[in-house]
Amino acid sequence: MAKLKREALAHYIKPVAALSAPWHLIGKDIEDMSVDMGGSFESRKNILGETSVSDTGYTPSLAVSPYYSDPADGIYDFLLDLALGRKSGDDAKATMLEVVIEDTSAESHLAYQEDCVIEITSYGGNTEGFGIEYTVHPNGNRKKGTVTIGEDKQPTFQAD
Amino acid sequence: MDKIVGFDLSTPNVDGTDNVTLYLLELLNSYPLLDGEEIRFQSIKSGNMTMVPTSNVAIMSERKSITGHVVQKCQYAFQIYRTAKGLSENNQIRYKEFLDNMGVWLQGLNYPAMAEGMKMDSIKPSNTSALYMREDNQSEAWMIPITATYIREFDK
Repeated sequence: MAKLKREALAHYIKPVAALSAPWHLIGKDIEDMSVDMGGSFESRKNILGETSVSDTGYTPSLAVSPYYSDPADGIYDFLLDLALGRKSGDDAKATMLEVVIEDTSAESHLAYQEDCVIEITSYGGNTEGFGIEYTVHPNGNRKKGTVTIGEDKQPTFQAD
Repeated sequence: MDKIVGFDLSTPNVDGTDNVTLYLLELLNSYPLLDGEEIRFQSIKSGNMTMVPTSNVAIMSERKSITGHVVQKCQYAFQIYRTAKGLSENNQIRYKEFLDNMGVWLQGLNYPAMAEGMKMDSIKPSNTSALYMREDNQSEAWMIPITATYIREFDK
């Protein structure tokens, strides 16, 4: 099998306050985006020359830049309200979906669903468009499962 | 001169149609000062106005996003010729001004919608109009070179 293209990893979000809204696929105008794992690992060497590693796990986050506002996007109203309404806390809660599509012809794909919180990092930007940059902070309740993608390109998650 | 990334062979001459050429031809023929004249495609006859593409559509830039969405900036270069015979000096000036004014009109337009996934960005003369050729029998052709730039988006 050939190496996977970048589009094999898809990230979706939708606000908790609008569960009937469509999932928003992140990345239409983005050429490079990664989950920053925020790992906390420390290695120590003792007087015997032995190395040990301790860790407190990961604090991942996903910086989304750029997002160019499009009123036709399901996520637009939510992001605009967070930015201009200076909202946070419960108002900024969302659900994220990470999907790995190894084979586009497969019926289902490996996926993880998790609660998250959206942080608006900036808005405005250059002449390319009305940008709203944000960071997705995973917030627990992570579930492993599978996703089927419908004709409308919307994912449907099924936990294991 | 901008570096060309590639050539788009999918829009011209696909199944005998050419989305961009037809769009431009229709747009050119909506020029309010045509006064009953018609701009034809690659028709070289005295007394005609004609549109002649100068190359295949050139892809000036291509960006692919992490979702597989591709945005291309494409350029379509063409020339408009206005031919006549035995023009007086005053009429030559009028011919030149006609073409130059058409170029100005094209630049300032709100461009009508194109086919899905395509959007006209600009249509600009790349130079002022000039006498292109004059033959011994007094036939002459005035020409203005124009470049249309449009955006094409699709999922790969």
